[in-house]
Amino acid sequence: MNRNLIFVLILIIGLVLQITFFSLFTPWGVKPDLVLVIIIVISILEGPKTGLLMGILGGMLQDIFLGEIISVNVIIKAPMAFLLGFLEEHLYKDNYFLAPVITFVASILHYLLMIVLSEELIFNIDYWASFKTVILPSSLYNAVLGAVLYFMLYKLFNYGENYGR
Amino acid sequence: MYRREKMIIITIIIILLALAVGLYFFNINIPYFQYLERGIYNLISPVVEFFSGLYNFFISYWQGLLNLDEMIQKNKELEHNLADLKLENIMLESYKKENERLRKLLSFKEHVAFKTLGASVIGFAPSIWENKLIINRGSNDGVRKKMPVISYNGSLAGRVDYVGSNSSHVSLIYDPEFIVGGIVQRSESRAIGMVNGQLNNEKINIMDKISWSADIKKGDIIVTSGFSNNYPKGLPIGRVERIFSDNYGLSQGAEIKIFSSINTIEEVLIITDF
Repeated sequence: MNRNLIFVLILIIGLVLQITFFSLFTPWGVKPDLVLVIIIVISILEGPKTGLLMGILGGMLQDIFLGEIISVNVIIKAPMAFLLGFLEEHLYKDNYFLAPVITFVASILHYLLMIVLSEELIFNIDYWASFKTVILPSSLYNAVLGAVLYFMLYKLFNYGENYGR
Repeated sequence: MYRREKMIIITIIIILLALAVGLYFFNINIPYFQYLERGIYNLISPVVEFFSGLYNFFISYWQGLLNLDEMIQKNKELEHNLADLKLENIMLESYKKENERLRKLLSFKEHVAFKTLGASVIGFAPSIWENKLIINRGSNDGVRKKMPVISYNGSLAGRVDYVGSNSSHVSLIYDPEFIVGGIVQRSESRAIGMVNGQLNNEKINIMDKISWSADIKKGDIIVTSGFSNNYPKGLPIGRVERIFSDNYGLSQGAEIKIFSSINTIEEVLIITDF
């Protein structure tokens, strides 16, 4: 089966899980962004091209379920995935600690950009309180999910064997 | 050559991104995109419904296994209650008939109940910032945009925001974008104000623009005012927790504790006609 097709399937499953399971199972009220995690992990494993595709598709799927096909998610996620893809050449894929760290930093950046781009958020929220109670815990949750997903995909597609191509 | 191709790809991406930003900021709707949006939405929402049904089934089965003794106890209790309620129902039926007869005699206008449509919650908005529910009723069931949604205890829960063919989105009462006119239920007060949601606070809404001299106090129940045509009159919203002075003392504001709670919402009623 084509690898990109599998990634698209993973994205759709991720969206469904985000809407159902991860919205109901929220430890300490913290909600992750599973679609974002999938996009980040695939970008750093596969490079900018696949990353961009995942960013556009994932962002659009998420925006569709928020009521508008082209909205903040696709605008932020597509370029972010593309840029993260350039890290692919410079990473040691054997190092499992890189994925959660990158996911954590990228999540924080993503949430901050989302505030900047959303009219209803930028004028309405208490920035510091939101950072402490929403952005930071959610990014940590994303980092944990990122580590798990990275490990799963790494094993599934044997990225370790591709060295020395 | 390779470098040139790369540059072209990057330029195309930047142009597409600029277009997307333009579409988003100037709120431009392209019909073709809307078809695509609806198509994808209607394709994926049944999968969502299936998954959430599966999740709820396992959770309730698991909880049932854990609390078997309690369930048996509860079942006995409920059977007792049911018998009592049946008796009460018969009594009420006779009162109802009496009421109808007396209304006719006095030629009062008959009280019309809302037409409602039950729906189960199949998911939540895939964003950490938005409070929206996804329910399993859509345009095929007669749901339209802006219809009010109430929880099973009768209190206002939100408003239909987006309609697909078999599912729709409900913007919840805690959402910062949600605004509804409220009125104090006490007959000697009738103070009015606007109730809006607050971000990341699922229990407290703010009622503001209450006149400076209005009679409002802690413990008052706030219901919908019905001044706009979007909501019927008299749906309970919440209870006043605290009063504060607003607009540098020119008006009053109140913190309203909301009756309906997002974590316990599993089913809702959509008011289709009022």
